[in-house]
Amino acid sequence: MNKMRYARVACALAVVAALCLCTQVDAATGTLCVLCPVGFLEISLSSGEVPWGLLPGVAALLAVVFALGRVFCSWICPTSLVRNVFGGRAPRGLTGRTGETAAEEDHSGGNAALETGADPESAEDKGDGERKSRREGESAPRREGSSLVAQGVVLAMLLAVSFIVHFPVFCLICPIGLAMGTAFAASRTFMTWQPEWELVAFPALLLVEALLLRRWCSYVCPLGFFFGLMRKAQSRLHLPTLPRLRTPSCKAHEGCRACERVCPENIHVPAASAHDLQDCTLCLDCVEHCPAHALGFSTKTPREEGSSERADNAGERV
Amino acid sequence: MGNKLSRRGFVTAGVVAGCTVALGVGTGAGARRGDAVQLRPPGADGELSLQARCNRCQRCVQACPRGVVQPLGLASGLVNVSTPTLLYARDYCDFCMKCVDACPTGALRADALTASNIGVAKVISDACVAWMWAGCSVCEDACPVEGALTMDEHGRPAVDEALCNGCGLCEATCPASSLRAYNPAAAERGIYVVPRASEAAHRAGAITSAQLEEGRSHKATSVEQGETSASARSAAKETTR
Repeated sequence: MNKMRYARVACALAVVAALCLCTQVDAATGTLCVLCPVGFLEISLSSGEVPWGLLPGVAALLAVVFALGRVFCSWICPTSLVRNVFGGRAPRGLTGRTGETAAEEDHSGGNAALETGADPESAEDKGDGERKSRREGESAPRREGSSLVAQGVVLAMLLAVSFIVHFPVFCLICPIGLAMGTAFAASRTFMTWQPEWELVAFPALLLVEALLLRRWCSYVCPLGFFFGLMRKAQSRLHLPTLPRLRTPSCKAHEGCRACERVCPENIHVPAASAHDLQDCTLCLDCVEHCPAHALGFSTKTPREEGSSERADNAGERV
Repeated sequence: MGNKLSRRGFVTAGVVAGCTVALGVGTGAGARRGDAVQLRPPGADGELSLQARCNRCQRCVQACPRGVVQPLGLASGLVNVSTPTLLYARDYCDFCMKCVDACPTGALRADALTASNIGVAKVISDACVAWMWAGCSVCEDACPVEGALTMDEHGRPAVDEALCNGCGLCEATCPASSLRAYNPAAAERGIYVVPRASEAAHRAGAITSAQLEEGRSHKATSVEQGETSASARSAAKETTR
């Protein structure tokens, strides 16, 4: 149970540990901040000079997102790390993400298949029967994806502020920067033995952002804006998106919604459009929790795939 | 969009955008006030330039083979959080310039005035063992710059501010804390490197622990940002003549 989640936690922790280890061997890799397109723009505007030294890292990160999807989000980003560690034992969507149990979600019974817009904060919507019934009546399933507009507004604001005050403002509250700052403040403390306030303040702010501001990733994260653009470009070019479904074994027509319940982005994979899959962070929870083992990874479109390929892809399924 | 959920999401985005603005106003005001100055790695071209360029990627911290480049904490102000400083607690700077080479944003640059001059050493009169008694010349023996640190007629260390490049070897080797009885009012070591733009650097001769504490991270009032090193060095030259 939750093997994927432990793997993600281990992966994100390993990245932080590796970056701290680089300090010991004097390898100037830089923290994740050297990959940041937001920091690149912020510094360009705040200093009036383009930091070309950051460009290779930024380009590499965006290229990875373009080729593989938002792997960074679930496997490396400290926000996901915090959510994976403190989000409860059950997979997100069952209890971890929303505080709502699977049983409660089952109240919508047979209509569940239509209610694909299962909301990330359904805990607050308990008893909101009117809206639920309206949802059930909708023919086109809707889910709340990440909003390029909201992320764009945040990005524009922070760039404007950075330009005015000549200082990269968002770096101070960015969860990635806070996590990296905590790690390096801790390693400094081991040297000076004089702990400072950021050892408390940074993790506290990080916890608030990751656990209280549930919509940070989809509505705030300015890095997500760039990722969103990359994914949009990818689907415009009709490049294959992941994950892939082996249609014959999928039990969605029998009312199975396992993949959507565990998905942190609430993607109902069997009915997901290319637009929905733009939000996929490749956390692989759906692959792990699919009872029919109908999910895997392949570059082919769902139509091309048959059940005969199941054996071939068995190894890729985790 | 337009439904309840999206609106709540937009509120989150709005709150964060608002916080960013407030933070910007706060830090902007703090930076404009400009009375703080930190001991920076070689190549930092003034506080404002470093604050505008540094993305806190910690590459300089990772690159430093002696571990003297360390991130600043919250105590030194919000704008300076995680930006690099020099800690001469265990080691010194040999100007290997690996931090400058590692910097991807130009916050540390080889052509800056501070690339060969980090700061200036100040003897702390109430912490230095040679000032209290006599006989200690550890810092003078260690100093790699000919004539930068000499012993005066009383056998006390004196810094030639024009020659000192702020490498910190004197501070790193100073044995004062292990030779004196513990005194919480006195600085731990008998000699400290302070930024040239700081108030402490502008006091002539040895300073007290109290003057060090209040003056090492405060900018001297008469000195303008940007030309700090140049003016401080010329001023220092004049005083020594």
